[in-house]
Amino acid sequence: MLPDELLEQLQTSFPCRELQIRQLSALYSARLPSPSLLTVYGLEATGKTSIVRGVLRANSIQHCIVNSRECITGRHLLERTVASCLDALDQYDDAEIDRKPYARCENISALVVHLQRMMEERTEKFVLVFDGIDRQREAPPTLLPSLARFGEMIPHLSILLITRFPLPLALHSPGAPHLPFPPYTRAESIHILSQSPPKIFLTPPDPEKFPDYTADLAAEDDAWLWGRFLGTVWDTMSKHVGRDLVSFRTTALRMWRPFVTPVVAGELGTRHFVRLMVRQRSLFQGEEPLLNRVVPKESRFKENIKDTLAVGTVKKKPLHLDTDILSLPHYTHYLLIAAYLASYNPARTDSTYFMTHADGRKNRRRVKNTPLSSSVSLSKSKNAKNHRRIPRHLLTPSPFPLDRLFAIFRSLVEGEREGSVPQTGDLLGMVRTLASLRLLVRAGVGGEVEGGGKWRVAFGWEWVRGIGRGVGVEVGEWLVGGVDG
Amino acid sequence: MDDSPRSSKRRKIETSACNGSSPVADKSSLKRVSSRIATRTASLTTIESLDENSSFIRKRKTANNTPNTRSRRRDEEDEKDVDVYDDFEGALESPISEKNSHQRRGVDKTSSAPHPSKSSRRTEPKKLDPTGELFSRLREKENKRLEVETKSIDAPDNVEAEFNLESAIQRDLDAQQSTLSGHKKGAKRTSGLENGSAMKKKESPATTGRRKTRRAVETDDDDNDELQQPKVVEASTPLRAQSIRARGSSSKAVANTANGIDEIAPMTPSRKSTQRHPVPKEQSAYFLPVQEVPKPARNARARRAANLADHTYNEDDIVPIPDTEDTELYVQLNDPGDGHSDIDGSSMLDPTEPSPFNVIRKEPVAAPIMHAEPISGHGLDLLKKIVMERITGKRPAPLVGLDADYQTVHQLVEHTVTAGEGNSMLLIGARGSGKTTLVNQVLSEVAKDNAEEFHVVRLNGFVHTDDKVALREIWRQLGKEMDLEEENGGIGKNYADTLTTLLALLSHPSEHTGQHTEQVAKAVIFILDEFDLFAMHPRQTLLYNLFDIAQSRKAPIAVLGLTTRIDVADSLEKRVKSRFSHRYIHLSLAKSFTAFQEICKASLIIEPNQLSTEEASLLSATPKLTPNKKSKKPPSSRDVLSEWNLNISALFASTSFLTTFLAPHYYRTKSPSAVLTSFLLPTATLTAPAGPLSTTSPSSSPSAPGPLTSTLHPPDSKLSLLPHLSTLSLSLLIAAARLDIIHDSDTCNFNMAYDEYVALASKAKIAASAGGAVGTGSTSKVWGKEVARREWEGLVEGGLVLPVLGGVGGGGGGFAMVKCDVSLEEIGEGIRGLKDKTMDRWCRQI
Repeated sequence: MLPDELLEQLQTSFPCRELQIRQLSALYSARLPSPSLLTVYGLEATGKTSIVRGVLRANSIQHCIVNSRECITGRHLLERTVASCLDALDQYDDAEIDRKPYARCENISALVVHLQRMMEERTEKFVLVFDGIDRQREAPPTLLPSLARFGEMIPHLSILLITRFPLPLALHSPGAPHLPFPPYTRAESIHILSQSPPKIFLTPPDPEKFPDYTADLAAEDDAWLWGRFLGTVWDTMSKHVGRDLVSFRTTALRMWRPFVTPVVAGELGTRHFVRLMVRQRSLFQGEEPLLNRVVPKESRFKENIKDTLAVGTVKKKPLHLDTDILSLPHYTHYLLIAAYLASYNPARTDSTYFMTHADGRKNRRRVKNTPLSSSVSLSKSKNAKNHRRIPRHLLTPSPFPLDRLFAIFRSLVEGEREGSVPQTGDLLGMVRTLASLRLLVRAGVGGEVEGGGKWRVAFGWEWVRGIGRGVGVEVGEWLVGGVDG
Repeated sequence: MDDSPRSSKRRKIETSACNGSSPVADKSSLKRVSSRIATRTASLTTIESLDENSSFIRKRKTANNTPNTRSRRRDEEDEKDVDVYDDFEGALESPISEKNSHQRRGVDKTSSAPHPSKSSRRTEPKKLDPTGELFSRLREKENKRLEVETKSIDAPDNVEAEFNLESAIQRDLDAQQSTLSGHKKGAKRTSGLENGSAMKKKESPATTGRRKTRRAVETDDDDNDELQQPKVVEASTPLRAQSIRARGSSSKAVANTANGIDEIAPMTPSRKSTQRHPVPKEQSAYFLPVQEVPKPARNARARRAANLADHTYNEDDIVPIPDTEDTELYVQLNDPGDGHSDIDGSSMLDPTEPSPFNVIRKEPVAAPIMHAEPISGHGLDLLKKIVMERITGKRPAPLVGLDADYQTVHQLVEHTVTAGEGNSMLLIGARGSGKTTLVNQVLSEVAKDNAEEFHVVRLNGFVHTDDKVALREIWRQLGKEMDLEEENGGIGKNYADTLTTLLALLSHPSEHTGQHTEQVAKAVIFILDEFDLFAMHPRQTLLYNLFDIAQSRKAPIAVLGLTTRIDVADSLEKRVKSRFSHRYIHLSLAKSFTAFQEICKASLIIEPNQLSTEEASLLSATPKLTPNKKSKKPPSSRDVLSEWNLNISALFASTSFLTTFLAPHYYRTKSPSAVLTSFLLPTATLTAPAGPLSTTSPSSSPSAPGPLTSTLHPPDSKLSLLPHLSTLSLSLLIAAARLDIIHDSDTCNFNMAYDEYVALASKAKIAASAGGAVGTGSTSKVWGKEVARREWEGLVEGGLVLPVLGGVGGGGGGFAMVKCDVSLEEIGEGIRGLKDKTMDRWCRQI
């Protein structure tokens, strides 16, 4: 156990983790022997690594932490383990260990040998922490069970595994101690985040206009408003989506600037929380702050916020977003629609949907009010609930040959425009481009477009519907079985 | 001296002679080949015949008492005794396998060899005793003795008890008798010099306990020498149990016929009780009350418990135990509150076992586990250190209930080390059944005497994942111990070279040089942990070679394989299997709750003899109490160690601890290490009263979570995650679980789950707005697909939905098929506590 002041200090730097700190410091104290294996588990952003590191440091126990995330193969992990152990020992002993015998570490057995050699003459215990070991890439199959036995095979060595989930089965050792780090509750999350409130005013307000608004006062306001704001964000957003601390903080910070805009603009006072809420409630109705995007959405997001009062915009925007990004050529849209139809319509229905009859009309609109859908509803009512049909568009797309794609494509284009596809159209080139965009993927092995293999679409219904509407084709009309939405 | 064939021949003659006078004996000898079912009756008749025989002998003895003929007659009489026992054994032996019984009979003959000497000694008091009761009693004891010597592998305790008895008997004997028996013993030399000396030692009435045990071990070893094969075969087979039972009843019959008073009535059919309980009883009845060491009692109990299957135990097995040392058990058994409160007549369950069916007390568990009175003293830190080392496995824990297996392994290893045999053996048992502890103890025991004569190579299937790595490791470990130069050795060369060098190293030197040398190669003990993984290596080269060396006596090596898989022998290739000795030891987890308690308790209690002298002196030193402390607690002058042990004993005697804490472990895992782990934190936070940490100790600050609430155990399932999920994740999970039922297929994908979620959530939204509760925001909002996608990925990562292997269409569109790993009912249970009832409804209604 640590002296009280050290415990206090740890607890202030890691609030709401008193129990875990206490348990860890009881298990890893300088005087008592430590368990040869301990698994610390908890979902992400529960403070596992920081607290383990903090406790080990505070207890001045020799340790080194190997982060699995930084190791791309199993061998990499082993080599890095040896290297960081040597580094740590060098540091603790203030002496250089001859690294020649440790040059290679090709398998777990070699790691055991190296560690044994390192620990041979030591008397103090050494804690080896594997962070995120459950997500190690290309880990050897017996990595976890053998790590669990390192502590038994090597004297003075304790293994500490930090994982997302408990590993009772993977370790193959019953009764291995597990220390839980439960996710923070609402109160805890808010308490932690309210420790560091962001500023309302990025630039302090004009001192001439507000001579008595001091920095202290501003900080107080920040904390007050931020605290209330956090509560609201939790209840409307983070409770439902992204509950962990980091997501919560990201969401809150994303919403913070738009939220305080009226205050910064001087329309509302810093303490007018309720009025601010009413004014900005649409902010809490959208989903944009919850989404992590690679492509920056700043401009669009701001736009969104500006015309927040128009409720409908939020809903419609996403449909256009992706098509905007892609800005594909005209015929490519048709090609994508054709690919989607080829994937989801059974080939035997093609003659009904796409073949030109003697009258020159294709009966594509049969779908909407054919007896097919009514029969569906009939069977639904008959079989009551035990057999509900799975809508086709929810299922995995089936592969199709390129010929079929081109045939449907031509049929679509000619049907729509009453013309023909220009001869110059390089359809294969288009397919190649779409494949490189990962919109079309090959179903089998091999990547040659000319090979005539099977293909499959890699986008969903909502997306293709958006595309179709962009070029004036209602995809649902062409789809067998129809789509409710 | 006469050798066994001769004596056996003579015995036959004697038997036929005997037949003339007593026809019953004939009957019994006929019965010897009777079927197994008839064994019981056969044994009964044998007892009668035995009784008759003895009376016959008595008559004859009283008839002519000339000192000249006496020794001769004694001889005859001895032979008769032997014969009787032989019959006795034979009748009890069920002739199931011809070979087995054959061997057994031979064994009986040899092992009854030490016998006559004792019986000759014991005839003396018989003569003094006019009623002859004592004689028959002694006879009966002899029977037991026989059993002990022939098969009880945990002889020390029994023999010890016997010794007490003998020393008591000895007091009644005259000098002449002792010389006579000494002469008799000369005839017994067939079993070897060691045995003879052991027997001689037995004669001396006063021996220290230590020597006694040692002697017992020796005799036992001798027996083992002779019996090795049959013993392995017969190890606690049902057949054996039956014969034992028959024996128990037969000895009861003897008692009944011998003296009218049925003193040994509460004898139980179990082996232990037949061997053991009547003995102290008699002692107290006829001789000085001998102080018994508590240890054998514990062993007896554990073994008795181990002997019995869990549910076949009935009450009279345990309840009427006449032993006084068993009072602690008694306390539990007779504790009226404990298990007898179950009135539903679940007679199949041992009432002493707190089971889920019994009434579970509502007492707080945390109360008994930690010591209300803190242990004071300087040794506290040391004690904590020792206990934590125990718990974390750095200090060997005592073996409980594995004495027989221990003897077998010990003997095997010792023979390899001392006699240069090649041996192989598999230890099979679940995790936590004590395989490694057993082997470690054997090795440390063997190393006490012959540390210089063997090497140990430890391999672990998890670490040494292929034969090449394993071979290299063998080379390294041997090289380290044999001080071979590493550079120009086989290491780093190819596999074949290493193997050849290694084989040469291990082989007997005479094999290469061609000339016979007296030099014996050092023994090597190979311990293959996770043996089944070694069997999975391609072609099993390593195993083949190791077994080959072991079998062909090229070198004294012992291969001990430790595994959890019962069918491991099936995974061996034919050529490997044929070289394996097929010696197995099956270790099982605790078979009864009492045994489980014993194991856990023994690992926590620290006996002074398990400590080094330094530690012991430090711990047992009575703490110097400061005056003010003394004024507070004057009577606490016990040392730290005994205080700890007392605390643990008290803990294991407390009903609430047993029912609410230990019983769940027993019923769910039977893993002692799990129990020990839960003692880790309480031990680490154990506080000294004067220390600065007393405020932070769990016992003193009630606000801190009790030590038992954080037992460091992993949760049972993923369901513990459910309450921590965000509502959208939970909704999606429920949707996926619903689809499982609705579509009657166990796979679904994100699109389907989201579709279902939208349907559910819109319905809930409509219902909520109809109900007037607008804008509560909990489930009334239908989240968009992209947000849902993010949560879905969280579910997949969390393992609540599992991606189906080989599923197509991964990536883009959310088509990847997954399997929902939790069922709807489970989710419903998991989220019971939530305030929002909407999702609860989703779980209940399809």
